[in-house]
Parts: sequence; structure tokens; C-alpha cells
Amino acid sequence: MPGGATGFATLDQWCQVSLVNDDISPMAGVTPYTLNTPLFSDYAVKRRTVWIPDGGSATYDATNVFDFPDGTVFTKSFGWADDMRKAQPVLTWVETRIIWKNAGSWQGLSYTWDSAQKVATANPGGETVPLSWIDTTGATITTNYLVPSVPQCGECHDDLQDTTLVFEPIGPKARNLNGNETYPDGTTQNQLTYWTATGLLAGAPDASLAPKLAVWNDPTTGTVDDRARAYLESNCAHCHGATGAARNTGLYLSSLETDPTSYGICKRPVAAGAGAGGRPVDIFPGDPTQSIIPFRMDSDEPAIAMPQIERSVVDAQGLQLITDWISSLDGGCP
Amino acid sequence: MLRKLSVVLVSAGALALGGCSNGSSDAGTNLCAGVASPCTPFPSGTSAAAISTALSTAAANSTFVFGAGTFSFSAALTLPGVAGLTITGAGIGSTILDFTGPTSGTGDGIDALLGNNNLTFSKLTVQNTTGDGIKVSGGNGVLFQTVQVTWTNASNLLDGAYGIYPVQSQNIVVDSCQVSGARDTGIYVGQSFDIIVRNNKVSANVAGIEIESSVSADVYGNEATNNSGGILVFALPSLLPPPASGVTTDMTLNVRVFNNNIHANNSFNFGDPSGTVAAVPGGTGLVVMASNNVEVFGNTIANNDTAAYAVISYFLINNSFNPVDPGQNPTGLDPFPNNVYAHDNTFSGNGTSPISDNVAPDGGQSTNLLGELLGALVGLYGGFVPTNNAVPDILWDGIALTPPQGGTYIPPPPPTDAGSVGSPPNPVDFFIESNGSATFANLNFIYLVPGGVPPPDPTAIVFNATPFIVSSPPTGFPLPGVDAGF
Repeated sequence: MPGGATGFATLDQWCQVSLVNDDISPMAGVTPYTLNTPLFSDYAVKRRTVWIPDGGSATYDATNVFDFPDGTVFTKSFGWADDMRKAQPVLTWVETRIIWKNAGSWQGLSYTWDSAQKVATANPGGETVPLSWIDTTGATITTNYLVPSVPQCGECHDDLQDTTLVFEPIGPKARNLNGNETYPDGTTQNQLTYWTATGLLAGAPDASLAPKLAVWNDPTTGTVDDRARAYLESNCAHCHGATGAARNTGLYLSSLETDPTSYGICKRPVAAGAGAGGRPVDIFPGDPTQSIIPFRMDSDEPAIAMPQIERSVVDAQGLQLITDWISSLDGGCP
Repeated sequence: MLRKLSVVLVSAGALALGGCSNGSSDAGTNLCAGVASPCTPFPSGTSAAAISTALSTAAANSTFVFGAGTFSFSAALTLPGVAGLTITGAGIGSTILDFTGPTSGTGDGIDALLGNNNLTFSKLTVQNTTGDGIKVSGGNGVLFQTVQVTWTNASNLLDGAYGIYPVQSQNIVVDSCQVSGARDTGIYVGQSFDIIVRNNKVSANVAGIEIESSVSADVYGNEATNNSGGILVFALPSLLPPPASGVTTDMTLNVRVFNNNIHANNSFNFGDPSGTVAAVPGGTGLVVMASNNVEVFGNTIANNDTAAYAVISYFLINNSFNPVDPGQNPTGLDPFPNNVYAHDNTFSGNGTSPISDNVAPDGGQSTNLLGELLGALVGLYGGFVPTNNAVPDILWDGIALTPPQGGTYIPPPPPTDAGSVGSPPNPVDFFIESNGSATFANLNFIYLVPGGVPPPDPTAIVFNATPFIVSSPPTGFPLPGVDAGF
């Protein structure tokens, strides 16, 4: 199986992606994909791919991450636009992460691109990378972006199964893949349909019957409530779930959560400390200023900011969505 | 335009790191002398990238030895979830891991969050983290020995949370460590079981030591001074130790606090106003809150200006208590202390000048309700006359639910000097024996709970009441000691 137990020293040895005209390009047989609502990572442009060894396929699951066979390789590349106002910005690629399945176990490793954008080298220890770019308002943003170390990958990807932490992919679930992708051959197709047609996926229903997560910033795909729940799932639920790293908080932000208190409605924090910002509950229906979640989204201080890793600048549009959503809720708190 | 990335890329050979080089005579080899293989030395000058890479790819049972010197980092050192790791150095103040400056990620110093068995930290200092100093989550067999965590600059006092922070773990020993300057708690053991915290010095933190929502803990031989609150034994709602503890509801159970020196914890509380510890007034020695089976003995508790030792319910820091319908408590926590036995402690010079304000290092100031209340009571009576104008040494808040959980609230007995126990007697099983000349008061704060009846009545507070004083150990005491597996 490619990668074996430790992975390769350089990205090119994986034969998954390369840089073509300053953009990430899947190699032959490697399938690009997108998520309806992705994790915000300091405005990174992300390119995702999946590859499954010949003859293998993932098994569909309506709720959880699909069951992928040994040898499966995912890549996710992180690049930054020089100027987010440009239609065709210059992208600089910082890291490409690999998650691969070997002998029944998933592993993760990041490769950092050199400044010449020629070679990406395994970086198991991670690093802090100073970044600077111009945002959509014309302001210059500077930040220290964290390329995660191998153990830091586990802070998001580890899932408690019985009493053991198990490393798992997060994104490739039916509801987050159920949308269109434009493929290298120029066609645009539903991803579940395409994956089924190409043999990557077995057991999927017609895409119209599969669950579908809203696109957080596309009002045509769902209500404010739908899109806020999609945003909170993709940005929070990998930790804030019953088996995630933040399971001790009792705050579960999967879009499938049905208990209002578990979802944060009028829920007091348990150990938020400074992170609570003096606000009484996680979500105070009708009043974002009394809600802890937007307070933590609006901070870039490590002890306060949520998510804890992957974000060092505020996602202004995401914050606006959550603020609007909380304002739209009725009921208040006792 | 994107700044050129100042990237120090590790070499491809980094994947093979993990063992000592052979035959070299450099300082690095000496650091591993006598240490079982695999051992990796980090001599002074080793880059943060090299250290992070080595730790991130550690094999089981590896030892990492820092030399003397200061090592600077811009992100947490995160350990892989493998067993048997040891992180050690040349000693407190000699090996310094410094996290001053802009950081990314969790803001912690060292994170071990992926379920480490048999993990040891020793002989080093971690300083100036924006988050926690050393955090261990989900560990089994965790030893902190001769470790210092400190915040050295005034500006850092707006940062930080916990110094040494094992959580959701078991078999924990924190021994001979030093923590100062934590904006929350110096040594905080949360949601864990089988815990020993001994011979540490905690100073200038908001709280010195806290045992929170945990089972079976021995806290002994520690010195807690110059904190806002010296030692806290708390249970908090919605938090509980791992299932292997056998506990399935929120509680703190079986804690012994003994032979500690808890003195002059008179710093203003500079905790974040949102934090639980912000409720503890500066000048506090020892507080037992909402915990069950707690034995407090052999301690010296002296010169704490607000309160030496208090046994309180959760409602004293969360005013959601409804005396008309106390069974509605929504937290899942039994909010009342039960079976708390204090004996053979020495009290002196406490409660002479209650501190009623919290003062943040940025000048922010807020009222501490408990401190203000105790201060006001001094004024209300023209002083605590029976105790020479000092707040009594041993306090009970007087808030209780009888029968426990679900019954109709009956106010605890108005205590009297005459030994009347009222009805029902001693609703929280709160026992006192052989504490020298220590003074006692039931503060009957229940009368001050909004909606409580009867209305506030100064005469409800009675000093040196006898109902809870026993002459021999109550049933269940003394508690057994903890075997934390070391």
C-alpha cells in the first residue's frame, strides 16, 4: 500500500497532486472533490482529492464518514491568495496534508511547500508560518498560521471509540459531499453520482435521496438556520460531539443534534473561563451579545478563540451568519 | 501580496529521528548518559522545529532530555498518543521552555491530549503561555515531578489559565512542583481519579490547587501562599471523571487534604470574571464546595484575611438556587457538600480583613460577592464580636436540601450557642473535631437567597455553635489513602 506506516519524505512520491500553473492539479486517476460547507482555515484556498486503489470502493453511509478501503489517500492543499479582491489572484501554497489508510488505520502528515513552490517536504513537527495577504475590504491581514504537527492532526481527527482514540477523516460524509463538482474533463456532476459511476463509492442512493448539507454562504441552498447549522457542524462538531475532543463540554454541534441544550441553547458553559467573555450561555436565542459562541468566533486570542486550532484570524462572514442566526431565534432564556 | 514564507523546513531525514547518535562527545550525548534508549537529547540551541519534530514522531517509551538553557516556541509542543514518554531537563529554572510572544494553536505550552499512558514531566520550567502550561487529557499514569510553570510578566497575568492541568485522566502524581502567576489555578486536576498532589508550592495564582469533579485524591504537604484562594475542592455541573472511576454522575468524592501549609493567601482575585474561581474572594484559605467524603486534617491555616476554611454549596457561586423548588436544580450535580470532616487542624490569624474586590492586572475591578458579604457582616454587627472582629475560622454557608435531592426544602436549623440541633439536624453531615481554638459559624446564607424566607436576619448567624462538633470520627472516616500507582 502507498505510504506504508510512516509516509513518504516528499509529496511527489505519493503521486497524487502536483503544481500546474501555480495551482494544485490532481494526477491521473486522482479525483478532486469539494465540501458543501468546509472548515474555515484563515481564508485558505483548499484543494481536495481522493484516490482509492484499483478495484476498491468506499461503502456509503447516510450519516457517518464513508468506510474507505486500505490504501485510500486523501490530500488537502492550503494556499493563500495575494489579494482576495482579484478574480484571478496569485496563489501561494503553504502545505498539503495527506491522510491515508494503512492496515486498517488512518494516519495524517503535512507537507510544507518551499518558497520556490517546487517541493513539498514532510513536516511531522509542524510549524508556525507568518502570512500576509489583502482581504476583500482591501485591508492587509497578517497572521501566524499553524501547520499542524502529526499529533496536532489528532486534536481534530481523533474520535473516541469505546475507550480508544481512533484517527478518522472528517469531511467525506454523504451530506457534505452531496453537491456538484467540476471535473478535469470539464463536466459538472453531483459528486455522489460521479463517485458511484466511477466506482469510488458503492451502495449510495440517488443523490436526490441522500442527505445534503447547506452551503453556508449560499442562501439558495438553505435558510439561515440550515446554513448556520452547516457552518457550526463543519467548524465545531469534530471536537464538539459526544466522541470528540470537547466531549466534556456537553456542547454538541452536529447538524443532526436534536437536543436544544446539547446544541447550546440557553446552555451555561462548564469550564470556559475567560472564553465565556462574561456571557451567560452558549446561545441566547434572540441576543448574540449574550451568547458565548459569537464571542469566541470574534476573538483571535489563543485562550479564547474557537476553533482552537486552524483559525488565527476571525472569519467575518461566518461570524455574521451566526450572529444573524442567533438574532433570528425566538424565545430567549429563563 | 504574500510575504515570503520564513520557513525552516526540516530535512527528509527528520522522519528517522528518535535515537541518540553514537560515539559523539557533544553535550547532546551527555544529556542521555545513563538514560534508557531510545533517548533524544535537546542540548542548548536545539531549534524549536527540531524539538517539535522529534516529539511529534516519538516512539513509545522514549525519553527527551533538554539541556540547560532557554528554548523559545511559537506554538504548543503536542505529544503523540504513545505510551511511556518522559520529558525532562536540567532542573527548574535551568531548563526553561518559553512561550512568550505571538503563538498559534491552543496557546498551551505542552499538550498531551491523545491518551498518553505512563507520561512523565520533570526538571524543567514552562513559562508565559497564553493558554495552559502543561495540559494532559485522557492520560493514565501521569507524573509531574519537579516541574515549574510560571508567568513572569505583569502582562502575562491577562493570559493563561491553568499551570499544571491533568484532566479526564487517572493515576496522577503532582510532586514537588512550583506554579505561580496562573490567572486561574496553579495545579488543577479536573475530572480525574486516583490523584496525589504533594509537596508542591503554589503562589500568586488566583487559586493555588484545585481538585474538581474528581474521585480519590490526596492533597498533602503543599504550601499555598499569596494566592487569592489556597486550596479548592470543588464539584462542578456537567463534568465527571472517566467511566473507569465508577462514578456516573457529576461529583467529587473521597478527597483528603492534610498536612498542608495554607497561609496568607491574600492576593486580589485577578481571574477572568467569567471563570468559576472569580467567585472566590481574595484572602481565602481552603474551600470545599459540593463535594462528598472530604477529610481535612493536620493543616496549618493561618493569616488568610477573608476566610480560613469554608464548606459551601454550589449555589453560593451560582444563584440559580430556588428555595421554593430546590429539586429543579438543572445541572445534574448534587449541589450540596456531604460528609465533610475537619479535625486536628491549626488555625490562627484568619478573617481579620475580608477582601471584597477582584482586581485585574489591567486595573479592571469588580465586586466579589462573597468577600463583600463577609465584609458587610463585619460591619453589620459592629464587628464579629464573639471572634474579636474576625470572620470565624470554620464556616458553613448553611444552604442545604433535606432530604437530599427532590424533597421539599427545609431551612437548616437556626443554630444556637445552646447546642440545639433544630430539625433536621446537621443536614449536610458536616463534622468538626479537635481544631484547637478555631471558631465556627453557620452563616445561614439561605436567608439571603432571593426569594428565601424568612427575610435576612442578622441573628441567624451564630458563632461557635456546637451542633456539628463530634468527639470521634464519624462513620466512613478516616478515608483510605490513594494509591496512584507510583
